[in-house]
Amino acid sequence: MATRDARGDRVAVRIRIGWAALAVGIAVVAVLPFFASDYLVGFFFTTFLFVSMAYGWNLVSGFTAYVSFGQMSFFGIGAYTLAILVSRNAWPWPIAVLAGTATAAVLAVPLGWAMLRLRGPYFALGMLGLTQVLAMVASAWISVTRGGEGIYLPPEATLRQLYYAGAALVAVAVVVTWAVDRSAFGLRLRSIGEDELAAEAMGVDTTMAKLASFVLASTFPAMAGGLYAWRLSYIDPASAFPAGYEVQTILMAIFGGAGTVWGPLIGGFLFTAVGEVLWAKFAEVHLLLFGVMILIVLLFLPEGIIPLLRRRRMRRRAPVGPAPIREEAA
Amino acid sequence: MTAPLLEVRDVSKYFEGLRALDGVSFTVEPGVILSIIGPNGAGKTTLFNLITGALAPTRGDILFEGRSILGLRPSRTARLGIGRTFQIVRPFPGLTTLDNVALAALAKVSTRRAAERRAERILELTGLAPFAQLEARNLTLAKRKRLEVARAVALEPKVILLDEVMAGLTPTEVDETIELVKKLRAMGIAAVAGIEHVMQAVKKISDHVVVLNFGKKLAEGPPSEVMRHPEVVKAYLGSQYAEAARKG
Amino acid sequence: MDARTFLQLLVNGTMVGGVYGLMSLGINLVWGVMGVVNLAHGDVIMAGGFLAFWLFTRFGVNPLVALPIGIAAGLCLGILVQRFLLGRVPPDRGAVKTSLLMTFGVSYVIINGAQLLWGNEFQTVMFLGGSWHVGGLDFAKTRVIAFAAAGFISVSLWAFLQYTFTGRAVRAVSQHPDGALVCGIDIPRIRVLTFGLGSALAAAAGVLLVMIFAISPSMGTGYTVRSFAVTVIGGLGSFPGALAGAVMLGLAEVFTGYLFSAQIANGIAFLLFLAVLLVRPQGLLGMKRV
Repeated sequence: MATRDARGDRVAVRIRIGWAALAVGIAVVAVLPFFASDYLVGFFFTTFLFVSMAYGWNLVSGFTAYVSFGQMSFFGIGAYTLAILVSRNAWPWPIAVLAGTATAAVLAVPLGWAMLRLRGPYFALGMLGLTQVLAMVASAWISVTRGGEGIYLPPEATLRQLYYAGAALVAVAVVVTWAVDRSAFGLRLRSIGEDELAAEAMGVDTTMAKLASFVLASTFPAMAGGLYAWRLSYIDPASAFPAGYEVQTILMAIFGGAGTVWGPLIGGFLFTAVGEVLWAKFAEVHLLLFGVMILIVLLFLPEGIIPLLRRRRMRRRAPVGPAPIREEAA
Repeated sequence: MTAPLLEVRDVSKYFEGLRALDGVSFTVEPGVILSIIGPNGAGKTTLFNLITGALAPTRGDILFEGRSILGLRPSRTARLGIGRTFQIVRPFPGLTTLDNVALAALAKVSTRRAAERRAERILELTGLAPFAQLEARNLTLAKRKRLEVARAVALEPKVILLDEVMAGLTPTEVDETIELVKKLRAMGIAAVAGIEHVMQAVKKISDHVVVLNFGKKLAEGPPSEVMRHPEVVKAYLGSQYAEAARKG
Repeated sequence: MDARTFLQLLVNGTMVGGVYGLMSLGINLVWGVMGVVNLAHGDVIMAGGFLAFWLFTRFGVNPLVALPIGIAAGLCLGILVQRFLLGRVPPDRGAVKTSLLMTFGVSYVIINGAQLLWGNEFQTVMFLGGSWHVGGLDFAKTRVIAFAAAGFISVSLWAFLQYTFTGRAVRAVSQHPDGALVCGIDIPRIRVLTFGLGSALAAAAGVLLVMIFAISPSMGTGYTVRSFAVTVIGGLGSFPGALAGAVMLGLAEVFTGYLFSAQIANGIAFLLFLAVLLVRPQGLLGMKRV
């Protein structure tokens, strides 16, 4: 059929454009630090952290629909682990970042086991409270964290190293999400997001699947937290458990499209870009405007950009549903 | 002597004093279609929830292939070979028809691709193949019920629990569903069908009928016999069926 | 700990608990009627506190006079949020999720708005010092007044829900939305009213709270968690449950604050609600809804 061939061609062209855009993007990211200003490189570094955290959130909340408001718990764990290992034991920072990630993943097992028994608003509030409690632990456990005084790190971080580490983190996040999306595991997570009881009845061990996604999702903010602490070369309870970052992370994922492979990337870059403009133009009220923007997105684009584009494309492509085939033909 | 495929042994379930099920026993042999009939609230759905492990019985035991399955969570019983459909259909609305079935197939195969291949075959069998790429929320009620059956079949169950698969369908759709259930039997899958009042279907498909009323088993036997049982006729089917039953 | 200290802590905890009870009623009402947990609840409490602080330091307004002003402001805020934000969420499968996220966004706006207006410092209202002494125990005047005011507002709310037509309509929607619809209740209007009422209660609690504790813009989340914890402990839709849960939380905080540290006391709400949820998901007291 001619129309089907034409459609196939269009899809092929679109895929080729997508790969080309990706290749150009990777090339730009790879060479950027060699000619861009420190400001721009720093901006990209921050964006990388947010994008990877948005991917982390997407893995647990986008796929399974367990909306987490507490991913910063793992950010803080990653940040503190790095700070402690570097300041006390003089570990090299890349190893300390990985150690922070491992610590978060290990802690995520019991935390996830407890939290995932809660659903809906209970889970949401549980995770919100968890971050608060960890911040309090960081304040109170002075012998380890130095409490409110914070931990100072040797200011040896080079922006370029951090930049590439952040870019690698984003690459890992994209690849992991892409693989999960296509895998049996991803289908199981989606089925939980759609209807947990039915998923269980279809043989999905929902407890294990949810826990696996929770642990996997914890590693991204943990790694981001480690890189963040190293860049800041200082960490205290307020900077390790930043409530504002939680909001931004979630909104990036939603803006791009929760539960999609490319949503957090696109949403993340658009959001940080807009945030930067707001900051430049309205420095005083930029956080407030940011909050208003969040509400506007939720109001007018609750599903995000990618599902919207996909739906529009579907509508253009298929004027009618499937052909009316007699069901008994089989 | 081999154990029956599924045995429900003196099972009771109380909800805060309400007796949803009271000492119910029956067995299901391989490849047999058992209908459980009874009015709304007789305890059919509760019974299904107990068998799959979604609820725990207050008393009694449930055996599958001779072994107790009490305390197993639904995903375990599903993998053992007990498939189910829900009374209020609940396919995953945002997943495609194919993914709905592939998910269930993952109980038996480990890769996504193998599951999809298996799902394609089952969609052929159930007549849903043309709708494979459609999101389940866009299917009609009859097709969604059919999808539920397809999903349960993908588990490769030994027995499949059908909760009101006939309710709310047009006569043609009922006939199509009857054909589908017969196909399952031809594949060697036993079925337990909970049916409220599609009586012609009960007659056509059942090898055996259990009658529930207010959580108690009222009668049991071959369909023609049970449906002539005076108590049953009076309690469930009303006078117009009593007339029909007498005529045979 | 001697007997006098014990009794004194008992008194202090109970009085804090009274304010916590009022604090939790708003989140409880909104959750029960609309099925949405308002994640901005604590931030409205905080904003109510700052409003009282601002009126007091700027114009010398007594917090008790600020109380009705705070209630009115909270009511307006809640009505606006419901009318222009939550009320516009399409009622499909994702509605609860979107609403939850939206209240999270509102929380962010309020926090940053408050920081702009009032800075990031801890503030309190010192309008009345000293204590009354009864039976060898100290009753701090501000705590007694806050406790009494909280009790008065709570009882008023209870009477409103119990005896007025509108109040009954609110309860009807919470118990059976479809039934309420069939009875001709204008559900969108009830939801606007409920959310307004919830915010008004939060703001009132904030005005009373700032008389007892120092507050800062970033601490709203802690109060959201506390309000939620009280609701979980006491059971959704239960007045006696809310009161008992709130006193329990107040006592737990005061005692851990005395025995260990104030920081641990701040985390106790979270630990309590987690423990309750993991052990008894239907609420510790398991009280039936009114």
